Amino acid sequence: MNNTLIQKTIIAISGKGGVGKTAFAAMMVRVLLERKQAGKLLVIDADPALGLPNTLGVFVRRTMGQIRESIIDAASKGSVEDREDIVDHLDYMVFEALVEVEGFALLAMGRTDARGCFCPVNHLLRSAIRTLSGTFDTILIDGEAGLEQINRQVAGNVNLLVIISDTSFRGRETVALIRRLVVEEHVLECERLGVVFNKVQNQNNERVLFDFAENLGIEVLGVIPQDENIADYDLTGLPLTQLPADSPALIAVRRLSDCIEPSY
Amino acid sequence: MAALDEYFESIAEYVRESKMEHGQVRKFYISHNSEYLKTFPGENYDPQPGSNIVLKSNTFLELGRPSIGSYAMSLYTHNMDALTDGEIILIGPDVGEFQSPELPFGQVIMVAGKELGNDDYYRLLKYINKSNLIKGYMVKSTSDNIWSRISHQAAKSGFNFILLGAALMRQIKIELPKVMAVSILFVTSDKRDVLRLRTIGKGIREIQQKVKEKFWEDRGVNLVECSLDGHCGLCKNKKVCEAINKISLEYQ
Repeated sequence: MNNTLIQKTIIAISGKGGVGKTAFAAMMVRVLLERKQAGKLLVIDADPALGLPNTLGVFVRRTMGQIRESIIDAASKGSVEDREDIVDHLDYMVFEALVEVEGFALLAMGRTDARGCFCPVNHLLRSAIRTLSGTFDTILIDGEAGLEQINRQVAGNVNLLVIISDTSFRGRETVALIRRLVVEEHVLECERLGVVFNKVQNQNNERVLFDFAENLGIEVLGVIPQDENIADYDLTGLPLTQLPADSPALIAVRRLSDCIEPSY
Repeated sequence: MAALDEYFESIAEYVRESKMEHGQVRKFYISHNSEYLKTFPGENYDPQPGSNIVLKSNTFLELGRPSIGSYAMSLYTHNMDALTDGEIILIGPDVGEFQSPELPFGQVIMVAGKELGNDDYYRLLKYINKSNLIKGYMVKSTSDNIWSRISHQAAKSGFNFILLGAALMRQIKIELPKVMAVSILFVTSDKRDVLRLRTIGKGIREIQQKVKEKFWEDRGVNLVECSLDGHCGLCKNKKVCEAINKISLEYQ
């Protein structure tokens, strides 16, 4: 089965919980829009915690998880009408879940309460997302620590996987784990793999981090310094896309995007 | 089908009432072979997956957004006097005549043919208007909702409801050769008019459901019982997955 989405570039973001993936994703959206190089941009929040919409200042009415629930529900009940309707309605439901704002569109995967694997549901949804994604030039996926959510529900192939880590040992352990999942176990196929160190407080830390990356055999895409603006914005619930232009983290993400640019 | 004939009468009454109420009822007559279709640059459109999507940033006019309201219905009859072939009825503004960039949307497709049967009706429900007829005109639909967008490029090229109606008529006559006459009603006036249509269509889903079940029953398929063999051992969700597998095959 060909898992490649019909689009120009897919960038997926992964990493241990709490390292700043969602904040990074929001700043990447800001930078991509500033540079106007991403073309038509689709942002997918693949983290069930649904943190990205708020960070982007976007309200989500319906998630793919809710659509998934309705599919499972209809199939469980065995209603002929409902099953036929699913085929006819899937495009409609997925498009209804798409939130279009100035500059980009957002699809939130959300969570599901339905227990069980239901691989066929994921397959169905992934087909629908693939169809929708064909319209976009760049797709940015904010994932979770595990890559399964990205692979099962969104896409099996990405152009660039960015692993976010803070300076903690646990964060770096997760980087190593994700790298193994990709390189050795092929949980997700990607053309390029790199790490971004976030919330870095001083240059001594940087030395340790770069050594770690070199030993692991993973490219360092960039270093983002600790930035009090982000904490302030998080506290007040302001979208990170509105960070001041001279915010240290944002400056670092701009610099970093130059490194990512060859992926386009 | 006699059961649907009353809906034709209801639609005719609806059009008469609309004319009396706000007078914004226009009728156009077009042949499905009209040269009009050939002049449109989006003709013979064969879209790639996902390429028919019109994003908001490129939308000239949005019709029937879920929060604004829509209704779509398809009917068939053996009574050739129930409609006029090639008639397009428009209640409300045409493309380019609107005040707001989004409008409620109602669409009723009416076909007549002496030899039409339930199988033809099933195909009309399942395939017509689900495809992408015209470049820059995106349709997302459910069994009774219809949500569409007209791109800036399509609008600039002259897209309007006459063109849409003509394209639909041509598709119908090609896909369903037993159809001898087609008439289409478009409603863009206001949500109230669209909701009135929805009220008229109440009860039609049950009729359509019976048609669907009969269609598959005639082919030896009981959709309730049919399931694919899986390899998921004793997993209690196996039946659910089997049902979804079937849906997935249909979707693709």
